[in-house]
Amino acid sequence: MSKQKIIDAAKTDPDYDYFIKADLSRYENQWIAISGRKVIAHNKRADLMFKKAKKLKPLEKISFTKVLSQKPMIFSYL
Amino acid sequence: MIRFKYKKEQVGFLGKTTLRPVAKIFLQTKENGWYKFTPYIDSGADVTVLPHYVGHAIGLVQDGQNASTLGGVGGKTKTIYTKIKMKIGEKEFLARVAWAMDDNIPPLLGRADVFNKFKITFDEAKEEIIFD
Repeated sequence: MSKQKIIDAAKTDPDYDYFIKADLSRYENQWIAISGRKVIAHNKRADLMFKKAKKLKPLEKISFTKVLSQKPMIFSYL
Repeated sequence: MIRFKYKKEQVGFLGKTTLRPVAKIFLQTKENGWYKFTPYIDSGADVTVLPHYVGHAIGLVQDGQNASTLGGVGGKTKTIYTKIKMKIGEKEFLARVAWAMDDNIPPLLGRADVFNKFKITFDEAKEEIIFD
């Protein structure tokens, strides 16, 4: 590995750090929006989650993703 | 170089938890803004998969393109192949993505136009992934 500086995503982005560390199992199979180290919107429907999140913060300031199922996942799409 | 982490998640029959590699990337919007997105890193996926509404949110439009079928271990879904600008760490680049016509698929960071730009080290013992 080269000796260039490592950007640590969890240290530089509190919302990413929150997503990595938080137990989000209550949001299983839901879309979530994170801002300020908390879930500010969640919904099984992505459009409704975005709609709510957008009312609260500009989307540029939000981290969004889906909380996966607690069933074992084998991804690999092509 | 950027370091991502594994997320510990509960998984049914595996007992207690499993570790899933999660990236933080930025997707460029039609208005040249950037949306932060946290897909799962999938070295087995040929291409990055954007669930439908994520594509819609960054301004992708169907534009009369024909949808193809995207096949995965879990099934098939209609998808449109397109290119978007993404940013990982300090690198900005165009990447082919499969924009699914469905929100019920996991957001995945796949290999096409991404894995060839980095040396990627999955270190599950340290619970980190390095994009160098």
